[in-house]
Amino acid sequence: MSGLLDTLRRFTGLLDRNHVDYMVIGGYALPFYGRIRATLDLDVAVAVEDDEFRSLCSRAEKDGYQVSLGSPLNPYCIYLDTVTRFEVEVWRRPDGIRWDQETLRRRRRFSVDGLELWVVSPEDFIVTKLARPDRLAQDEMDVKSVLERSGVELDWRYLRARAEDAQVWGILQAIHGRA
Amino acid sequence: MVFWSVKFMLRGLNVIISFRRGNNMSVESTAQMLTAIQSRSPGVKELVKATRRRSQATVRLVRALRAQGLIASERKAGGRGRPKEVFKATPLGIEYLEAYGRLRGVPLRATEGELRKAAEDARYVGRLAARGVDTFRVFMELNALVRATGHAP
Repeated sequence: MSGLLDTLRRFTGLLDRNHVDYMVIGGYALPFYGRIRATLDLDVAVAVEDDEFRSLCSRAEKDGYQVSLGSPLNPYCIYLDTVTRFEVEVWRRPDGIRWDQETLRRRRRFSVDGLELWVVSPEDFIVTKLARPDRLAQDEMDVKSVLERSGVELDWRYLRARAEDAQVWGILQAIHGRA
Repeated sequence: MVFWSVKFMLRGLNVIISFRRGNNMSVESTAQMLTAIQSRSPGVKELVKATRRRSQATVRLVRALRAQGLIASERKAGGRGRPKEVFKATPLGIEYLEAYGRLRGVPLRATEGELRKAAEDARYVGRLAARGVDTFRVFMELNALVRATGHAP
């Protein structure tokens, strides 16, 4: 089994056991909605409050993770899986994402090699990519690929509302209109 | 702790605004708050409503903006009770907004060719998916291949 997939399996298992709502974001969500490109960055967003997060960290450490918290204000921290030796970036406040019932309702469930995964909705995926303060050309290409991938239906009304909220609607329109 | 700097150097304006990655103070968030503050000199309650954020998050952002010198507060007496604290954009805050407005016109980071390539890649992946290929599995295979060649991204 791939070490990366095993890392994902172990980590989502930890979240499921602890009843933590989560969704895979970033490059690992991309193959479901857009193009396919290699990446090592395994990003997972978790819907937890401060005290729950601390409790999750301590439970994770018992499960073989080394957690580097940095600052409690940091939007993400690194969970090093000492079994697989891969790292997971765990986000509590991904750029552009408002954690609410709508975000959770819209995430999608995928099955990969028997692994059931919650993945960010394509609309929220687009907004997180564009709302990054360090947005790269690669992020814009990822967004373009989601807009162009056949078979991926987008809820434009929702996308527009979220993009306007994150102040990236103009950029999104520019990408949509190009090429 | 990671610090990021956004540098504006437009028409003699040289403002360096550092913000810590994690306090939700993206350039867009800062501009959104400043816009709301500049247009109506609101209190916290009105800001929460205007920006559709939670009160706690709004207070945190207001503190950060004040610390950066982008907004100032003043007490406004009106009717009974304690004078209300309202916020105003400082000259630096107004300059920030103007610079932000100009920067929004900056072209995309990806070139026309890169966007076209991304669109072509996506169409190919769409065709693969239509033929029943598991695209996530392909992604994992590609990752494994790249790692095996020692060119991990």
